Amino acid sequence: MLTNVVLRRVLMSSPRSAAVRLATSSSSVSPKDDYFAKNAALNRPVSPWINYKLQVTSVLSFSHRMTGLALSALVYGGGIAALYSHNTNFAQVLQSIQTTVPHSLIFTVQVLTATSLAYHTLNGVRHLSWDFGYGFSIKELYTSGYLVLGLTVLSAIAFIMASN
Amino acid sequence: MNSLSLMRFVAKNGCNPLIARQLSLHSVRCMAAKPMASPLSVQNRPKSGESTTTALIARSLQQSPQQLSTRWSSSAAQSHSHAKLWSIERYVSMALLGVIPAALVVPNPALDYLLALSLVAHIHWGLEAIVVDYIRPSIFGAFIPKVMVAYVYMLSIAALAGLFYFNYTDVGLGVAIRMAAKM
Repeated sequence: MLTNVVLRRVLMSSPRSAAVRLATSSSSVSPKDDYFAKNAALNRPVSPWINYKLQVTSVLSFSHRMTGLALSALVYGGGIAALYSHNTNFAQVLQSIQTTVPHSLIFTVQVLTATSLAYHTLNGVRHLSWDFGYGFSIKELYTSGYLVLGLTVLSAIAFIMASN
Repeated sequence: MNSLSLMRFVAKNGCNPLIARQLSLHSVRCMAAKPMASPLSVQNRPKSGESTTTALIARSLQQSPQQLSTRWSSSAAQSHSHAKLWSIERYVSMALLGVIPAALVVPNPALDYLLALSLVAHIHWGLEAIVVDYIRPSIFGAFIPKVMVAYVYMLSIAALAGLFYFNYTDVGLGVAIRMAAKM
Protein backbone atom coordinates (compact mmCIF):
# COMPACT_ATOMS: atom_id res chain seq x y z
CA MET A 1 0.00 0.00 0.00
CA LEU A 2 1.28 3.49 -0.82
CA THR A 3 1.56 6.01 1.97
CA ASN A 4 0.39 9.58 1.55
CA VAL A 5 3.96 10.88 1.17
CA VAL A 6 4.83 8.45 -1.60
CA LEU A 7 1.47 9.06 -3.31
CA ARG A 8 2.03 12.83 -3.36
CA ARG A 9 5.56 12.47 -4.77
CA VAL A 10 4.33 10.06 -7.43
CA LEU A 11 1.41 12.26 -8.54
CA MET A 12 3.51 15.43 -8.73
CA SER A 13 6.19 13.96 -10.92
CA SER A 14 6.02 13.48 -14.70
CA PRO A 15 3.69 10.78 -16.09
CA ARG A 16 6.56 8.56 -17.13
CA SER A 17 8.35 8.50 -13.76
CA ALA A 18 4.97 8.14 -12.06
CA ALA A 19 4.21 5.03 -14.08
CA VAL A 20 7.61 3.57 -13.29
CA ARG A 21 7.24 4.26 -9.57
CA LEU A 22 3.69 2.88 -9.44
CA ALA A 23 4.69 -0.22 -11.35
CA THR A 24 7.71 -1.03 -9.26
CA SER A 25 6.45 0.14 -5.89
CA SER A 26 4.51 -2.93 -4.86
CA SER A 27 6.51 -5.64 -6.62
CA SER A 28 10.22 -6.08 -7.03
CA VAL A 29 10.19 -8.12 -10.28
CA SER A 30 10.72 -6.47 -13.64
CA PRO A 31 11.01 -9.15 -16.41
CA LYS A 32 8.41 -8.55 -19.12
CA ASP A 33 6.56 -11.88 -18.61
CA ASP A 34 5.77 -11.10 -15.00
CA TYR A 35 4.61 -7.62 -16.03
CA PHE A 36 1.99 -9.01 -18.42
CA ALA A 37 0.96 -11.81 -16.04
CA LYS A 38 0.57 -9.42 -13.13
CA ASN A 39 -1.52 -6.95 -15.13
CA ALA A 40 -3.69 -9.72 -16.55
CA ALA A 41 -4.27 -11.05 -13.05
CA LEU A 42 -5.35 -7.59 -11.92
CA ASN A 43 -7.83 -7.48 -14.85
CA ARG A 44 -6.43 -4.22 -16.09
CA PRO A 45 -7.70 -3.07 -19.52
CA VAL A 46 -5.27 -3.34 -22.45
CA SER A 47 -4.92 -0.58 -25.02
CA PRO A 48 -6.01 -1.91 -28.45
CA TRP A 49 -2.57 -2.03 -30.02
CA ILE A 50 -2.64 -5.68 -30.96
CA ASN A 51 -5.88 -5.93 -32.87
CA TYR A 52 -6.21 -2.40 -34.25
CA LYS A 53 -7.95 -2.51 -37.62
CA LEU A 54 -5.90 -2.42 -40.80
CA GLN A 55 -6.30 0.85 -42.66
CA VAL A 56 -5.12 2.09 -46.05
CA THR A 57 -2.76 4.51 -44.30
CA SER A 58 -1.02 2.00 -42.06
CA VAL A 59 -0.95 -0.85 -44.59
CA LEU A 60 0.56 1.36 -47.30
CA SER A 61 3.13 2.75 -44.88
CA PHE A 62 4.17 -0.74 -43.77
CA SER A 63 4.27 -1.94 -47.40
CA HIS A 64 6.48 1.01 -48.32
CA ARG A 65 8.97 -0.05 -45.70
CA MET A 66 8.75 -3.74 -46.60
CA THR A 67 9.21 -3.22 -50.34
CA GLY A 68 12.12 -0.89 -49.56
CA LEU A 69 13.69 -3.56 -47.39
CA ALA A 70 13.23 -6.27 -50.05
CA LEU A 71 14.65 -4.10 -52.83
CA SER A 72 17.55 -3.11 -50.57
CA ALA A 73 18.36 -6.78 -49.99
CA LEU A 74 18.53 -7.30 -53.76
CA VAL A 75 20.73 -4.28 -54.46
CA TYR A 76 23.06 -4.76 -51.49
CA GLY A 77 23.13 -8.52 -52.05
CA GLY A 78 24.12 -8.00 -55.66
CA GLY A 79 26.68 -5.37 -54.74
CA ILE A 80 28.36 -7.46 -52.05
CA ALA A 81 28.24 -10.58 -54.22
CA ALA A 82 30.08 -8.63 -56.93
CA LEU A 83 33.03 -8.32 -54.55
CA TYR A 84 33.45 -12.11 -54.75
CA SER A 85 33.20 -12.37 -58.55
CA HIS A 86 36.85 -12.23 -59.69
CA ASN A 87 36.54 -15.02 -62.24
CA THR A 88 32.99 -14.74 -63.49
CA ASN A 89 31.19 -12.07 -65.43
CA PHE A 90 27.55 -11.13 -65.16
CA ALA A 91 26.44 -13.01 -68.26
CA GLN A 92 27.87 -16.21 -66.81
CA VAL A 93 26.07 -15.62 -63.51
CA LEU A 94 22.75 -15.19 -65.30
CA GLN A 95 23.45 -18.26 -67.38
CA SER A 96 24.06 -20.44 -64.32
CA ILE A 97 20.86 -19.10 -62.72
CA GLN A 98 18.87 -19.98 -65.82
CA THR A 99 20.19 -23.54 -65.85
CA THR A 100 19.54 -24.23 -62.15
CA VAL A 101 16.31 -22.34 -61.49
CA PRO A 102 13.07 -23.13 -63.41
CA HIS A 103 11.85 -20.28 -65.60
CA SER A 104 8.51 -19.98 -63.79
CA LEU A 105 10.33 -19.15 -60.55
CA ILE A 106 12.59 -16.66 -62.34
CA PHE A 107 9.55 -14.99 -63.87
CA THR A 108 7.74 -14.85 -60.51
CA VAL A 109 10.73 -13.18 -58.86
CA GLN A 110 10.98 -10.72 -61.76
CA VAL A 111 7.30 -9.78 -61.48
CA LEU A 112 7.50 -9.40 -57.69
CA THR A 113 10.63 -7.25 -57.96
CA ALA A 114 9.15 -5.02 -60.66
CA THR A 115 5.89 -4.64 -58.73
CA SER A 116 7.76 -3.82 -55.50
CA LEU A 117 9.83 -1.22 -57.33
CA ALA A 118 6.72 0.31 -58.91
CA TYR A 119 4.85 0.42 -55.60
CA HIS A 120 7.83 1.84 -53.68
CA THR A 121 8.40 4.52 -56.34
CA LEU A 122 4.73 5.55 -56.51
CA ASN A 123 4.29 5.63 -52.73
CA GLY A 124 7.64 7.44 -52.57
CA VAL A 125 6.19 10.20 -54.73
CA ARG A 126 3.23 10.29 -52.30
CA HIS A 127 5.74 10.65 -49.43
CA LEU A 128 7.51 13.46 -51.26
CA SER A 129 4.23 15.32 -51.69
CA TRP A 130 3.84 15.18 -47.90
CA ASP A 131 7.38 16.48 -47.49
CA PHE A 132 6.41 19.50 -49.58
CA GLY A 133 3.33 19.96 -47.39
CA TYR A 134 0.55 18.63 -49.62
CA GLY A 135 -2.03 15.94 -49.15
CA PHE A 136 -2.49 15.54 -45.41
CA SER A 137 -6.29 15.62 -45.19
CA ILE A 138 -7.96 12.24 -44.68
CA LYS A 139 -9.69 12.46 -48.06
CA GLU A 140 -6.43 13.25 -49.85
CA LEU A 141 -4.62 10.46 -48.00
CA TYR A 142 -7.14 7.88 -49.07
CA THR A 143 -7.42 9.20 -52.64
CA SER A 144 -3.65 9.23 -53.16
CA GLY A 145 -3.38 5.84 -51.46
CA TYR A 146 -5.89 4.19 -53.78
CA LEU A 147 -4.25 5.95 -56.75
CA VAL A 148 -0.90 4.43 -55.79
CA LEU A 149 -2.44 0.97 -55.46
CA GLY A 150 -4.23 1.27 -58.81
CA LEU A 151 -1.13 2.45 -60.64
CA THR A 152 0.91 -0.36 -59.05
CA VAL A 153 -1.53 -2.94 -60.39
CA LEU A 154 -1.34 -1.31 -63.83
CA SER A 155 2.47 -1.36 -63.70
CA ALA A 156 2.47 -5.05 -62.82
CA ILE A 157 0.17 -5.80 -65.75
CA ALA A 158 2.34 -3.68 -68.05
CA PHE A 159 5.49 -5.51 -66.94
CA ILE A 160 3.91 -8.94 -67.46
CA MET A 161 2.69 -8.00 -70.92
CA ALA A 162 6.05 -6.46 -71.87
CA SER A 163 8.00 -9.57 -70.95
CA ASN A 164 5.87 -11.96 -73.03
CA MET B 1 18.68 22.38 -6.02
CA ASN B 2 15.40 22.86 -4.21
CA SER B 3 12.02 23.61 -5.77
CA LEU B 4 11.99 27.25 -4.74
CA SER B 5 15.25 28.14 -6.48
CA LEU B 6 14.12 26.23 -9.55
CA MET B 7 10.90 28.26 -9.59
CA ARG B 8 12.92 31.47 -9.36
CA PHE B 9 15.19 30.32 -12.20
CA VAL B 10 12.20 29.53 -14.39
CA ALA B 11 10.50 32.84 -13.62
CA LYS B 12 13.68 34.73 -14.46
CA ASN B 13 14.75 32.82 -17.57
CA GLY B 14 11.48 31.68 -19.04
CA CYS B 15 10.27 28.28 -20.03
CA ASN B 16 11.84 26.80 -23.14
CA PRO B 17 10.88 23.22 -24.00
CA LEU B 18 14.32 21.76 -23.18
CA ILE B 19 14.27 23.24 -19.70
CA ALA B 20 10.63 22.22 -19.28
CA ARG B 21 11.61 18.57 -19.71
CA GLN B 22 14.33 18.78 -17.06
CA LEU B 23 12.07 20.67 -14.69
CA SER B 24 9.20 18.20 -14.97
CA LEU B 25 11.49 15.56 -13.53
CA HIS B 26 11.94 17.75 -10.48
CA SER B 27 8.16 18.26 -10.29
CA VAL B 28 8.18 21.99 -10.96
CA ARG B 29 5.33 23.31 -13.06
CA CYS B 30 6.64 25.39 -15.93
CA MET B 31 3.48 26.80 -17.47
CA ALA B 32 3.08 29.63 -14.98
CA ALA B 33 6.47 31.05 -15.95
CA LYS B 34 7.01 34.00 -18.22
CA PRO B 35 7.68 32.93 -21.85
CA MET B 36 11.24 33.52 -23.08
CA ALA B 37 12.19 36.00 -25.78
CA SER B 38 12.73 34.38 -29.16
CA PRO B 39 14.35 35.63 -32.38
CA LEU B 40 10.85 36.35 -33.67
CA SER B 41 10.17 38.39 -30.59
CA VAL B 42 8.07 41.44 -31.45
CA GLN B 43 5.11 39.83 -33.17
CA ASN B 44 5.09 36.91 -30.75
CA ARG B 45 4.40 38.67 -27.47
CA PRO B 46 1.24 37.06 -26.02
CA LYS B 47 -1.85 39.11 -26.70
CA SER B 48 -3.76 40.47 -23.72
CA GLY B 49 -6.29 37.65 -23.26
CA GLU B 50 -4.03 34.82 -24.38
CA SER B 51 -2.44 32.36 -21.97
CA THR B 52 1.31 31.94 -22.04
CA THR B 53 0.89 28.26 -22.87
CA THR B 54 -0.84 28.91 -26.15
CA ALA B 55 1.63 31.68 -26.91
CA LEU B 56 4.45 29.19 -26.46
CA ILE B 57 2.79 26.61 -28.71
CA ALA B 58 1.95 29.21 -31.36
CA ARG B 59 5.51 30.46 -31.36
CA SER B 60 6.84 26.94 -31.73
CA LEU B 61 4.64 26.31 -34.75
CA GLN B 62 5.87 29.47 -36.44
CA GLN B 63 9.48 28.46 -36.17
CA SER B 64 11.43 26.78 -38.94
CA PRO B 65 12.18 23.04 -38.83
CA GLN B 66 15.80 23.85 -37.94
CA GLN B 67 14.82 25.86 -34.89
CA LEU B 68 12.23 23.29 -33.83
CA SER B 69 14.56 20.35 -34.19
CA THR B 70 17.30 21.93 -32.10
CA ARG B 71 14.84 22.99 -29.40
CA TRP B 72 12.77 19.86 -29.14
CA SER B 73 15.83 17.64 -29.33
CA SER B 74 15.05 14.87 -26.93
CA SER B 75 18.47 13.87 -25.66
CA ALA B 76 21.11 16.13 -24.23
CA ALA B 77 23.82 14.40 -26.30
CA GLN B 78 22.10 15.31 -29.61
CA SER B 79 23.35 18.84 -30.11
CA HIS B 80 23.32 18.84 -33.97
CA SER B 81 20.31 19.34 -36.19
CA HIS B 82 19.12 16.61 -38.57
CA ALA B 83 17.29 19.15 -40.74
CA LYS B 84 19.94 19.62 -43.49
CA LEU B 85 20.47 15.87 -43.84
CA TRP B 86 16.70 15.36 -44.02
CA SER B 87 16.51 17.77 -46.94
CA ILE B 88 19.41 16.06 -48.69
CA GLU B 89 17.65 12.70 -48.29
CA ARG B 90 14.58 14.10 -50.09
CA TYR B 91 16.74 15.63 -52.86
CA VAL B 92 18.41 12.26 -53.44
CA SER B 93 15.00 10.54 -53.58
CA MET B 94 13.86 13.03 -56.21
CA ALA B 95 17.13 12.63 -58.12
CA LEU B 96 16.60 8.87 -58.13
CA LEU B 97 13.27 9.40 -59.90
CA GLY B 98 15.23 10.72 -62.86
CA VAL B 99 18.46 8.74 -62.62
CA ILE B 100 16.91 5.25 -62.64
CA PRO B 101 14.98 5.65 -65.93
CA ALA B 102 17.89 7.50 -67.53
CA ALA B 103 20.41 4.79 -66.57
CA LEU B 104 18.12 2.06 -67.89
CA VAL B 105 17.16 3.74 -71.16
CA VAL B 106 20.60 5.18 -72.04
CA PRO B 107 23.17 2.93 -70.30
CA ASN B 108 26.58 4.57 -69.98
CA PRO B 109 29.39 4.51 -67.37
CA ALA B 110 28.67 7.97 -65.92
CA LEU B 111 25.03 7.17 -65.21
CA ASP B 112 26.03 3.73 -63.87
CA TYR B 113 28.27 5.29 -61.23
CA LEU B 114 25.71 7.99 -60.45
CA LEU B 115 23.02 5.34 -60.08
CA ALA B 116 25.21 3.22 -57.79
CA LEU B 117 26.03 6.22 -55.59
CA SER B 118 22.51 7.61 -55.27
CA LEU B 119 20.99 4.15 -54.84
CA VAL B 120 23.36 3.20 -52.02
CA ALA B 121 22.82 6.56 -50.31
CA HIS B 122 19.04 6.18 -50.47
CA ILE B 123 19.13 2.57 -49.25
CA HIS B 124 21.58 3.46 -46.49
CA TRP B 125 19.30 6.15 -45.08
CA GLY B 126 16.32 3.81 -45.33
CA LEU B 127 18.06 0.93 -43.55
CA GLU B 128 19.42 3.27 -40.90
CA ALA B 129 15.88 4.56 -40.28
CA ILE B 130 14.57 1.00 -39.88
CA VAL B 131 17.36 0.07 -37.46
CA VAL B 132 16.93 3.25 -35.42
CA ASP B 133 13.15 2.79 -35.31
CA TYR B 134 13.07 -0.81 -34.15
CA ILE B 135 16.36 -1.57 -32.41
CA ARG B 136 15.82 0.81 -29.54
CA PRO B 137 17.90 1.26 -26.35
CA SER B 138 14.79 0.76 -24.22
CA ILE B 139 14.49 -2.80 -25.57
CA PHE B 140 18.04 -3.81 -26.46
CA GLY B 141 20.14 -1.81 -24.01
CA ALA B 142 22.86 0.70 -24.71
CA PHE B 143 25.29 -1.36 -26.80
CA ILE B 144 23.36 -3.35 -29.43
CA PRO B 145 21.63 -0.40 -31.18
CA LYS B 146 24.98 1.29 -31.77
CA VAL B 147 26.43 -1.96 -33.10
CA MET B 148 23.52 -2.38 -35.52
CA VAL B 149 23.87 1.18 -36.85
CA ALA B 150 27.60 0.55 -37.38
CA TYR B 151 26.68 -2.68 -39.18
CA VAL B 152 24.42 -0.75 -41.57
CA TYR B 153 27.33 1.57 -42.32
CA MET B 154 29.57 -1.43 -43.04
CA LEU B 155 26.97 -2.97 -45.36
CA SER B 156 26.60 0.31 -47.25
CA ILE B 157 30.35 0.72 -47.69
CA ALA B 158 30.69 -2.89 -48.91
CA ALA B 159 27.72 -2.55 -51.28
CA LEU B 160 29.03 0.71 -52.74
CA ALA B 161 32.47 -0.83 -53.22
CA GLY B 162 30.93 -3.89 -54.87
CA LEU B 163 28.73 -1.86 -57.21
CA PHE B 164 31.65 0.39 -58.23
CA TYR B 165 33.79 -2.70 -58.79
CA PHE B 166 31.00 -4.17 -60.90
CA ASN B 167 30.72 -0.95 -62.92
CA TYR B 168 34.48 -0.94 -63.49
CA THR B 169 35.12 -4.61 -64.34
CA ASP B 170 31.81 -5.81 -65.68
CA VAL B 171 28.96 -4.63 -67.91
CA GLY B 172 27.71 -1.87 -65.59
CA LEU B 173 24.49 -1.45 -63.61
CA GLY B 174 22.25 -0.19 -66.42
CA VAL B 175 23.03 -3.03 -68.82
CA ALA B 176 22.98 -5.57 -65.97
CA ILE B 177 19.45 -4.65 -64.87
CA ARG B 178 18.24 -4.88 -68.47
CA MET B 179 19.84 -8.30 -68.85
CA ALA B 180 18.30 -9.52 -65.58
CA ALA B 181 14.86 -8.29 -66.65
CA LYS B 182 15.14 -10.21 -69.93
CA MET B 183 16.15 -13.56 -68.34
